Amino acid sequence: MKILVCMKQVPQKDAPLKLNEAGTWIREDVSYEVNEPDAFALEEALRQKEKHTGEVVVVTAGPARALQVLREALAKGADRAIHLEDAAFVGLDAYNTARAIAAAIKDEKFDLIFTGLQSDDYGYAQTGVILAEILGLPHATIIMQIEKTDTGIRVKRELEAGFFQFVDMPLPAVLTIQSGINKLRYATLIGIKQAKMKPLRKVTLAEVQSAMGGNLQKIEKLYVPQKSKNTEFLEGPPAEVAKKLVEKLKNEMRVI
Amino acid sequence: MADTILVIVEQREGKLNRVSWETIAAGQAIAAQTGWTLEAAVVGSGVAAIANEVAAKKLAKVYDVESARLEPYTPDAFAHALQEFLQKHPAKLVLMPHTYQVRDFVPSWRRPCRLRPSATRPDTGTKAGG
Repeated sequence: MKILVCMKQVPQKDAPLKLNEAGTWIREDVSYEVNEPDAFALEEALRQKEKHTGEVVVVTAGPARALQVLREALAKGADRAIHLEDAAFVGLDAYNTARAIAAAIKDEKFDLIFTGLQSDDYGYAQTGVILAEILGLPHATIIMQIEKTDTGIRVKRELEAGFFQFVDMPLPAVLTIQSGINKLRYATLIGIKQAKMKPLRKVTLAEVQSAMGGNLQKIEKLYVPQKSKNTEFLEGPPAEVAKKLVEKLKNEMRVI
Repeated sequence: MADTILVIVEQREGKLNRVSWETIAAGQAIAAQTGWTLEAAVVGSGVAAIANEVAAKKLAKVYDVESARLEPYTPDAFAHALQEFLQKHPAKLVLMPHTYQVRDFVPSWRRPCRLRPSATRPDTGTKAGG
């Protein structure tokens, strides 16, 4: 199986974030890491390759710093990497990110394309589904398990309230992978060494720009949630106060 | 395009997902601010009872979008059904509950030949701009 894994570099979970001057996004000077669901997507791709043989290709769109994500993926066992390198890729909406990736892989034929379920920064959870739509492929989201069948694959989707759904799909297909689908591996020393020799294709913004358009979505303002404390006294006979309290806990606080 | 807000009500196996009420409440708030008409659509197979339940709320109209192909749920069928529906009944604003199901099929609409709306996640609040 030939599998593409779309990965993204995002600010580290515990990194202190500062807003940029325009208040539209965070400042660049933070520590970065691999988007968590993307790490699970890579692991799943490597496991599928180990079971069924094939090739794992990783792709990312971002500035020079995003190369680190690809290096780590190659060290863990990915065979080659594609880097859409430009700072402009950071500010794209999900539609344009998907269009850029689709343009960069137009000459390749993958059996499976994995993305993480969503990114930890923008959190749109849309790039994978839109990519499937652009490529004209079937998709399934929030994947917890993948089994190869005679006709394609059977996947387990996570639904709300503890429900799961099993879906039979033909290949090729696009899947968005949920964190926790497997147990992540560490890169070995040999893997890190070998990664330097593996093929890396750079794609410039100019090469894919004709496939892209203006963002349909723009962040107007980003702000830190304002905390405010408010004390309210419930007055009246105890039975009435208890009733009001239950109502507040139920409808306003939603804790019961 | 009509000045309409359309709420897409979510159901699974004939049972309304309660978060749809919050989406309707958000729609009512935006309708009050803008003066636009609030409508809702229930999509699925055998969902007339849910459409009736929703119709009891303060809404101008509730559509029952029925097809046997919508049960069991698949993203392709839902995206297709709603795309067709919205071409016949264009809305200025479409609101959906932020659920796993919505995230599964709604982004498909962004294909150039489809509707090209801009999807966002109004989980915490919405405000109608001038």
